[in-house]
Amino acid sequence: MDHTNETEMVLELKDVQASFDDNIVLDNVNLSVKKNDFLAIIGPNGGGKTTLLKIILGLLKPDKGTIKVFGKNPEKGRSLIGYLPQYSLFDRDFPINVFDVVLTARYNRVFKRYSDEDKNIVTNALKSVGMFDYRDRQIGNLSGGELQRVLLARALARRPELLILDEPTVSIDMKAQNSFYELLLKIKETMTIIIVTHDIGVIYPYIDKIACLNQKIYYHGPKEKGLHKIEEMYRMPVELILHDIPHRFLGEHE
Amino acid sequence: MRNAIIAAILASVVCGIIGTYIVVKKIVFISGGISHASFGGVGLGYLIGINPLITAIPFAVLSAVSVGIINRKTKINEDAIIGVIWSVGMALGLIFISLKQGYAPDLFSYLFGSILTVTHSDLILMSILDVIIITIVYLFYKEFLSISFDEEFSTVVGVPTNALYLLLLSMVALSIIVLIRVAGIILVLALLTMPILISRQFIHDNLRNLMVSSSIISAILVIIGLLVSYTLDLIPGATIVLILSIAFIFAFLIKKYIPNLS
Repeated sequence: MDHTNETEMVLELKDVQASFDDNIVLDNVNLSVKKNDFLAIIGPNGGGKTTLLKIILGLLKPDKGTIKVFGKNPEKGRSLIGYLPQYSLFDRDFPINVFDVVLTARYNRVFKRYSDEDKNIVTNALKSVGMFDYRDRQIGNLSGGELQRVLLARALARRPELLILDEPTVSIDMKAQNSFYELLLKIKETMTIIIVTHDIGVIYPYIDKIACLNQKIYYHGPKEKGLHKIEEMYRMPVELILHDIPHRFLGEHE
Repeated sequence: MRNAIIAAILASVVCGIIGTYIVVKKIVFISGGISHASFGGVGLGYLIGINPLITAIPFAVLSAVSVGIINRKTKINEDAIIGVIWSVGMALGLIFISLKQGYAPDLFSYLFGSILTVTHSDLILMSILDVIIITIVYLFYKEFLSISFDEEFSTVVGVPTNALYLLLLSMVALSIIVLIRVAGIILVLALLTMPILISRQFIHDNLRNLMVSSSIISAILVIIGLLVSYTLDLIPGATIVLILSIAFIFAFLIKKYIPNLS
């Protein structure tokens, strides 16, 4: 684990600073993600999580610092990223069915139609999340958990090496959340995953590493040692944040 | 009357296609701004003595592109920019018209539509614009769908979203030119929204079906409005808008109380 070479580095941020209208949102953020990490970036709302994601995806430019995605700049490296935005931001009335949503991930360039191979990839992505039978449904006829799976299929249809999920289970019921994370456990075997969330409780059993973000990175490392840092950041006992998780999952923390 | 019916059909085709994007991408008020800004071009046409629809084209397209660019590249509020181009375009139009000596007799028809006086050259212009709009939408269908559904994701997968957004706004501008003769600058928003809202009560599955059904609904309702205005001797543009809104209320009530239809 210590003899990592350059090619195993999936994501690397150095001294990244970002601000909105003179308010510093990210301050001196350093973060490195290695191949096959399952990392949760945890922090309060307004702590800069979304900004950090947008910088990684090349949607925003930082004021300072460098970002390498698979050793390239974000605009180039993001072709290897599968991105799952917050499902609650979608217009559920939009006249589009499940298959066509996932197909948008296979975009290649203008004047090029989606090929049969693209359609096969979409079919497989939908099957892998158990949503193939819903392929002709308009997205408004899906539950929150189902739409989330469709968006996961869309991210997977990129054939990514890094999967980034933004608050994937906000306002989804407990049962759907658990089956969603079980699904991620399978996917984890084949790719690097970053989850951004303010709610560490539900995901804690599934992840390996934690980065605590509130303007700065307060902690970045194995999850067990990060818990007291979360307490410090939220200024409340970890038990309150980990509301849903029995203590046996938590392991040792000093 | 024959010209009017052809104009109604040409207009309805773009209503269904571009109106669908306007409604699903929620750019109704940008479209209103572009429409009013094109009045500057109408005024210029009066001043230099050529068909005002032709001079309105560059005004509409330029205002569409500038709203798009200012919107993407600055932090000025979108609705504030719309307010600015809306009123600046109208002001320019008024100045151009006042520079021309004498009263502009059919100015009213550009503001509120005058489908019964559509000329042969208007029809040719409308047909050319229809062909351009249909071709562009055909060529960029998958991109327009992608940016309408999820612009951020589209950017990440490599769609040139900013350029396509400007192209889409330019198509909105051209469709407004097609509609000016039918409903006028002030009433075009009704044609670009209500047929889609009506057909959306019953069609949800995909964008293409929504476009086709909206175009058909629009053609039927515009022709009904035309006949009603002709029979009762009412202003056609306003009559068409009222027919559209009555149909919308009916569609809404049918959807609400007879749910099996949808």
